[in-house]
Amino acid sequence: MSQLFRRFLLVALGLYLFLPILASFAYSVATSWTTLLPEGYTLKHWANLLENQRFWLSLGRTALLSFSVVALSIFFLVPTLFVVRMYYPKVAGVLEFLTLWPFVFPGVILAVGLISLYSGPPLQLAQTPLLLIAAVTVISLPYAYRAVDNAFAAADIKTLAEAARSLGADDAKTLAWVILPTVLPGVLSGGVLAFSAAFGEFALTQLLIGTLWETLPVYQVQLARTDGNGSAAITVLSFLAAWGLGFWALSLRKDAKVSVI
Amino acid sequence: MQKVGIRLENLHKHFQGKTAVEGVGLEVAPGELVSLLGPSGCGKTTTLRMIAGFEQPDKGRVYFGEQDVTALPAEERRVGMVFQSYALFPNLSVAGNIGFGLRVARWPAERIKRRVGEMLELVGLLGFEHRPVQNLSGGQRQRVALARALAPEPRVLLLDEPLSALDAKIRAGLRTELRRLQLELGITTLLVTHDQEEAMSMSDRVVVMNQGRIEQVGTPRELYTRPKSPFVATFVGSMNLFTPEKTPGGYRISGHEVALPAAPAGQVGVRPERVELNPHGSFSGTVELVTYLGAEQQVLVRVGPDLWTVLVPNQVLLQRGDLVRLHVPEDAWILV
Repeated sequence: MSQLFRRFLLVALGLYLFLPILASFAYSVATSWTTLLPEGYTLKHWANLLENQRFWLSLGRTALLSFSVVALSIFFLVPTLFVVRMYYPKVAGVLEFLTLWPFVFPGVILAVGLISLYSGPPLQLAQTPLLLIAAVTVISLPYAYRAVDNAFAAADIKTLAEAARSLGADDAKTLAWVILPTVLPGVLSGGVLAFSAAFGEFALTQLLIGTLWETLPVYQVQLARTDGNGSAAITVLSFLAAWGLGFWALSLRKDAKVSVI
Repeated sequence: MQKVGIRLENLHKHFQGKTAVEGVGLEVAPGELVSLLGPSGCGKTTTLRMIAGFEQPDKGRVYFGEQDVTALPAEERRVGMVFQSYALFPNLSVAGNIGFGLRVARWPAERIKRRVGEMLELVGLLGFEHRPVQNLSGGQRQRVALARALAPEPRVLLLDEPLSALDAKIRAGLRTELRRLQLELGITTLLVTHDQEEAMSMSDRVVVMNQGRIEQVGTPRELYTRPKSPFVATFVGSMNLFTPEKTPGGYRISGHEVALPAAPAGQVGVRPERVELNPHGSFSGTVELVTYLGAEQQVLVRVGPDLWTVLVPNQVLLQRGDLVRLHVPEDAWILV
């Protein structure tokens, strides 16, 4: 492959990834845009958006949803994977297969099933944020699972735990002093992935709860009907949030590497 | 450091119906270095793991000195363990790793620091205390692992293939150093290895294991000169092994009459370095392959139905197809 072609590929990929973001940003600050470039620039759409209470409320709900999903994913994944890797290595394959299921089910089927199951007693949860959080956790789990499991696999948890035990550490100390710090970078990556998946979740949210408990993506779609420029501003904001979070997690990973007693 | 020996009584261990260790009994004297040697799957690692407390024996007991530790969990056995994969804690520095066992035992910070310093000096890594372990070479990592295992003054030291992951050159250096340290500290040590050279060069005694059982226990010299079974004869060093035929006057090997020092019960062997090239030798054969090894050459000679391995000084010029005569001194025959 010639060098020119390799460069071309790189540039093409860059354009493919960044052009939509740049275009969204341009649209969010455009007065009107009918030719190749916007006719004028304004911060009016941003100001409108930031003054809108509906925007802030939906952002708050999405943040609540995303952080809950991250907390639940880590809470379920880390102890489970520790036990599986330490004592039941053969179950790992089954677990991996199970975590793929949310990808197999289309959102519609999942939503309809959940609504009909939780519409009556004993658990009347349909159209509550609780059901939404639980459902989004399930569909975000595969993303977090990959990252956390890789961290466990890469670290050879079993031997590390045996080394700690031979040095006198009981299970609690082994987990707190050795295992958790070792898998922390992976857990953080997994958390960021789960956060991103939950932050941008639209299809399932729309079907499960819709405008009763409006999240940012749902609000964004509503807004797009009346104010395309404001909707574009939300796109840019979401992207920046994801980016910032990613870099933050990466910096934590570096810090986590070295610590001295 | 208190010196205790290790005693194993009739250890058995099965994994899902497969026998891993079957009736292993062994006594290791205080301060002795004993190797468990055998091919993979022979049960040597399982035996070590039962001593460390990572596996529970189905039957049998483990003693440290007079204390029965069979039911004691690993974290209360006070063993020092070194793993093939180093198993250093990636989130801790060199000093953090070495001091880990001391921190667990709640030593005061000042004493931990002093002890870590002593350990670094012992393994030749002074000045490395604040390095992250990821920046170390394989040899340095294994030194840190050794220092970490020795820091809390363990009663016994268990080494599980400690040198197998290292380059040949570093391995040879660390092997000598490990043995020197062990003699200096006088710590009772069990070494698991599949490398017979490693076992022979480092140990006071070697335990050869095969299929979950002990084949033979002895000093390196005893194992080499008086192997008790064909397995030991071929696993420790190399050996030309034959099944002799009884003749009216004596025995026949490779189609030639030989005089043996005693009546053989089973097979008869001779080490490649004890076979001599001699124009008056009683075995005639044809050279099939010459492998130049530097100081000497390994020659495969076809004698009748058998293929002999012979070590020949490197100044003798031989090539494929040469006709040679081989001589075996009577005391070179080993009956197994």
